[in-house]
Amino acid sequence: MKSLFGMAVLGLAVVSPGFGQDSVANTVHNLARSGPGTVKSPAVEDVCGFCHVPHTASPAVPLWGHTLSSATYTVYHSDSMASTAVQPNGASKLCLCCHDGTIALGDLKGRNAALGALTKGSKGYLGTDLSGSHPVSMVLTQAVMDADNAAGTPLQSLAGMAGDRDGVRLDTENRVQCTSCHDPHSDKNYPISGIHFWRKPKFSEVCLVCHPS
Amino acid sequence: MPSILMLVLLAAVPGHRDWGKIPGQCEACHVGHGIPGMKMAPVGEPDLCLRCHGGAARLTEMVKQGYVSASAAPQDISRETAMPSLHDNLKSCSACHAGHGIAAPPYISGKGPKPGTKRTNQFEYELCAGCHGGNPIFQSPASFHSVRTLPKSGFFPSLKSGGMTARTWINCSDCHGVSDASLPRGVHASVNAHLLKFNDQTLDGQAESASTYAQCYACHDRNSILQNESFSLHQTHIVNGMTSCYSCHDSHAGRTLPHLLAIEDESRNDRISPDLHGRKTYTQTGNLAGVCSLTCHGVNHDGWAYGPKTSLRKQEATVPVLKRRAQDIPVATDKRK
Repeated sequence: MKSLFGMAVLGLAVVSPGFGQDSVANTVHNLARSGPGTVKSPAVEDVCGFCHVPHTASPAVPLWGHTLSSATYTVYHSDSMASTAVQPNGASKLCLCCHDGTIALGDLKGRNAALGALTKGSKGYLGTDLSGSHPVSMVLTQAVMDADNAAGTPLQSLAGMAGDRDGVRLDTENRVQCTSCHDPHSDKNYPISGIHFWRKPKFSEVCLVCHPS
Repeated sequence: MPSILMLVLLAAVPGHRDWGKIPGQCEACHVGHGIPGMKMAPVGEPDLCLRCHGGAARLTEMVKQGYVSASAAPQDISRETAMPSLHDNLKSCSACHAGHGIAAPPYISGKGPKPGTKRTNQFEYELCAGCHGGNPIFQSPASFHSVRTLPKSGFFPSLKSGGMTARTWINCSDCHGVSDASLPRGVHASVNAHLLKFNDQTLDGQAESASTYAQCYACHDRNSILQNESFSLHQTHIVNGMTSCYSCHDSHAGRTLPHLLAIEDESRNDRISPDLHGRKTYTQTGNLAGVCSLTCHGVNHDGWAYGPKTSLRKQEATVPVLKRRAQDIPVATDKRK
């Protein structure tokens, strides 16, 4: 029976491209020694410790343990977007403390994991010019969304956005964040999507949750 | 009724969101994090658009990568990109085009915007005015081609028969656009200067012919012009004097003068200068009648009058036949000195 189970698991591993990558330990976000990627710190053992701390976290939710960036960002602008572009906040601010390249990956609260900042051209580097990236952190109200629709950006209703089973949605304050499209803890769709931590197997599937065709 | 509804729905489904033609959907154009300044696109403009609209080789690659259906047949503007008169070097397709497409626009009067152009524009000229707002046609000119408004009245004997009247609306793209009618429509490029559909010489000293001023003659009957039906000295100026239409007329509007005359404009300083009394004016004195006080092609028009019933003070023969191009022609020559 055990061997049958083992064969079944092995079979899943073969036929399921993202097998195992739904655990953060098996993703490139694991910067500890056990991480599968090339960017990691041999001296660090704890998988969660690059982002989280159990105590003295800032912000307390989600127990954030990495030094935050104080950068000012160039944000997205489009004539077809009625929402006012804002500086990244919420979860996006947390992602950018590594991905804007201004803070060392190893600059953790209370310790230094001896891992430098992402550099321009390296995978995952976004820099501080986000004018080409999907806008984040603006609050979506129905009035704003109506205006967006009128301006040429098709938007689903708030209720419609909240109903996606894969978690493509706004945050608790109805803001778009990096985490609306990316799941930082699971890279199960990467083998198909080719985009790290993408919430769905296909690129467009994520877009179409909020932007109906 | 259902068929009408269906037509409306079909008109509201723009090509770029037709997933049958673009199976790559959003990913055919977008990435989550594009290059700075581009709206979630991995490359700049026009390269982004030319991946599908820039010739068979590039399109084949997009089909091969699964972004575009082999049967999509997008408009190919690769031949335009090699033309000398390129619309702003095609730097920004999105300045005119809405990549996601627009619903069928309302047509209130005159002519509406072209399919695929930006939704906020009710009329094509509004789109053009976004960049060309300084053009006199977008100010409050004294005379104009009927792009924004129709003339309240007027007598236009040179208009070709066959439908054009003083009440006919004109789109910018009636004159401006690709010079080869077999290529996709659009104001992308032309072999002619000023992105005109047809040739139109603006320098003096050119022998008059149907092709020399083909753009003007597209609407204005050449025979009527040369038979002086509108201006009694057209033939004298155009044929004998080899004066271009542009020297006297602005093809968009006359800022201060009737008949789209531009002779007072600074833009004509290279060919028109004050007369011996320091005047550079045109005064309309009646229907098809006026007085010119200026110096042009070396001739001092010292308050010269014309009109259907008024003979020119000087004989037409005194207008010299020009053999040289405009830049070689001395202006404001005072022959009395």
